[in-house]
Amino acid sequence: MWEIIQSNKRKSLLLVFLMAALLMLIGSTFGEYFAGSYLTGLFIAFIIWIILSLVAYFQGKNIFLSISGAKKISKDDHPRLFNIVEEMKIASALPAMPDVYIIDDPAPNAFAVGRTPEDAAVAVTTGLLNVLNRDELQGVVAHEIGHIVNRDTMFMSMLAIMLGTIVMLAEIARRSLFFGGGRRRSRSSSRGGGGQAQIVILVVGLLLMILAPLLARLIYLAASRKREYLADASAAVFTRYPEGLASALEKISVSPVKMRKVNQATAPMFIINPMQKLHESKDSLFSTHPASKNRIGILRAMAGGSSYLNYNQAYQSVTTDKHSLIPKSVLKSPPAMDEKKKTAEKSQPDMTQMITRTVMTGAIISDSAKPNEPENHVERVRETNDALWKSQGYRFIDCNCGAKLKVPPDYKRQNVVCLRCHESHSIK
Amino acid sequence: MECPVCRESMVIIEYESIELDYCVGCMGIWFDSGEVELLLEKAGVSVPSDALKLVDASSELRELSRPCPLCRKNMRKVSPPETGIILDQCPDNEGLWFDAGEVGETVKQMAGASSNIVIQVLQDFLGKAVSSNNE
Amino acid sequence: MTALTVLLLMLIIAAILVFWVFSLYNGLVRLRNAVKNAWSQIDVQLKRRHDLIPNLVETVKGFASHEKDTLERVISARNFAMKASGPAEAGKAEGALSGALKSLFAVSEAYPDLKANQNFLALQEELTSTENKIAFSRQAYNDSVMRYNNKTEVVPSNIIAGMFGFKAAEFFEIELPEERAVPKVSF
Repeated sequence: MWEIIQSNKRKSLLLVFLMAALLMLIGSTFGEYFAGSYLTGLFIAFIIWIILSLVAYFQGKNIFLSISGAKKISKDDHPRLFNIVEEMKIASALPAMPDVYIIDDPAPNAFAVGRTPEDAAVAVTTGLLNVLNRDELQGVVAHEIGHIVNRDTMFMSMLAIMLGTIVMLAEIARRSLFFGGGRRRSRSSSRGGGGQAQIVILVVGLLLMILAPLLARLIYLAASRKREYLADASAAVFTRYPEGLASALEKISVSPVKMRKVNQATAPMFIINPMQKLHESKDSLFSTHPASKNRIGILRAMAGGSSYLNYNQAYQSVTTDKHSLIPKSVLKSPPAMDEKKKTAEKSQPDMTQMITRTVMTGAIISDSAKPNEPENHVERVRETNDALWKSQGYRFIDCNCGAKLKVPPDYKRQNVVCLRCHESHSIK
Repeated sequence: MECPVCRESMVIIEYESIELDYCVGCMGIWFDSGEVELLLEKAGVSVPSDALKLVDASSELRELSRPCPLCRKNMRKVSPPETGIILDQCPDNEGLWFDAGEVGETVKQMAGASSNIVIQVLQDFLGKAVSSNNE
Repeated sequence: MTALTVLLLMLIIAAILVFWVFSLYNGLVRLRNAVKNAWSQIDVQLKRRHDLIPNLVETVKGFASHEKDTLERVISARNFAMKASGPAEAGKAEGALSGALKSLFAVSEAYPDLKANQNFLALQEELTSTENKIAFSRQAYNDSVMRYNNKTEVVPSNIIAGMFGFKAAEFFEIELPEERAVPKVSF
């Protein structure tokens, strides 16, 4: 685990420097072009970057959660979801329990935010809770916790801020070009003499204005895609059951429902890009997430194992990418328990995983094994809605006749009369 | 959600995974169309059956028009055939509003015509809200 | 003069040796504490499971009173597991408890009223989750035992371990004999 974080940090730093260099280049070029001094441009770029970073550092988590309309829930609101997050907290050895949020949105999706593993949050949509069974939900939560453990949440927000700064600078430049900035350009270029240098700066400036945001976005997206694969690998290791996440991704990717509160900036944070077109089958340069088909394929090709080694092998065979996804040092020293399992696997392939799985779910029959799925679906929807209502301050009363009364927070009477049995319940 | 009659906040009641909203002030009941579908599913009826056929009753002027608690548009007056009961239906078909006792009245009249499984499920769900008229 | 140099050298070597022994000893203590800590994590979950069972038995009794045998088996397995001490013994007892719970949940399938009961469903979710948490903390515990035991066996830390009585820790395996014979395919 530690090696992955380390190698992630090194790659992250490289990308951050690349992004920073781009930011400085665009700042100084625009400064030279518009104000005649590259220092002024650098200064402006620096100021914008500092402000955005400070805001993100102190409020990033909350801003993102509130943009998405996420509501914090407690264990009573949705015991199953809360339990699953706690299970994955234990499996991933996270130092603190992340906050759990739900988003009232019919599109199934999830994301994680947080600067440090101590101060993280996991959010899922009501649509996700409605369509997934326990094992699938566990896979999705494990993927999100994987982002937190691998420090992706912190890193991606850092890159996103730089991307934002670059986009902002390009926007400022574009506007000043149309309103007034152009005057300076026409005067200086007609003057002859040093005109040639001016023209070069003009051309470079125009090119940068168009290319920099694009380039920055490409850096950002490349980083994002790799991290999705890594988080999938982590999810398989945490749950020791890759099929859970695979089947969840399958359900999420075929869902025709579109997310409501989402934009370009927040899209990469979700488990599946809420804006991506359906049935996209190749990893394109412009996608935030790898194609779901690839992700599912890799998880299903893990052949009974659930270690980083298994994932890496499956990754290389499915994507035909010769590079190792996961640093060699991790692959060389698999966790102690996996070594033990492998010796057992030799005699009975596949069975070890089943046994581990049965030990995990133990004697308890998981809800996916129950035959009456449609009934379960209605119950799941009720459960999700209840969680939403409880988070909004509804009070729940169990009436003796078996009915459940849900009283809104702005209810003004002292007592509630049950519709079925006319029993009166007083409200504290 | 707000009661279309007395503008009070309505209470939600869930029984056997079916949910209805009702107003404690006037004991009127709101049937969400999704919940009606669930109710039918539970009763083993796949499509909206004749039991729920409603005829237009906009000529009846006994009641004022009321806003739909979901979409705030004015609801239209409808009536189960040959009952004389006037219900309010959302113009976008988001649901149906029953004044106090109207569900009981509807169930009683329709149960007389034919023993319908939908009626049975309703009777079980609503308990005293249906039978209170007989007491 | 030379005697003093030799003495000084010996002192330095002795000091280095002492520091080395200290660091080996401290390393062993750290690993042993990690094992203890990991065990206490499991212990919390095992206790939670033991606490949930009386509630479950009470709930099931209300709906399926003539499943006395199954219920009694669960209770006695729980009492046995509560008395178990040490990972090896606990592993065996917890395995038996898991088996008893499995048959209880299998039996409950025959009672639709029980299966629809909110209390029962909540308990079922809690027990499923507790069982998962036991499994996940077991992974963490066994990893830490592996690290600690390796340290007590390899040269030179094994000498220090022998001198100060660092004994190898036990792995925690939940034995489910019947599970190994018939793996379930559908989950």
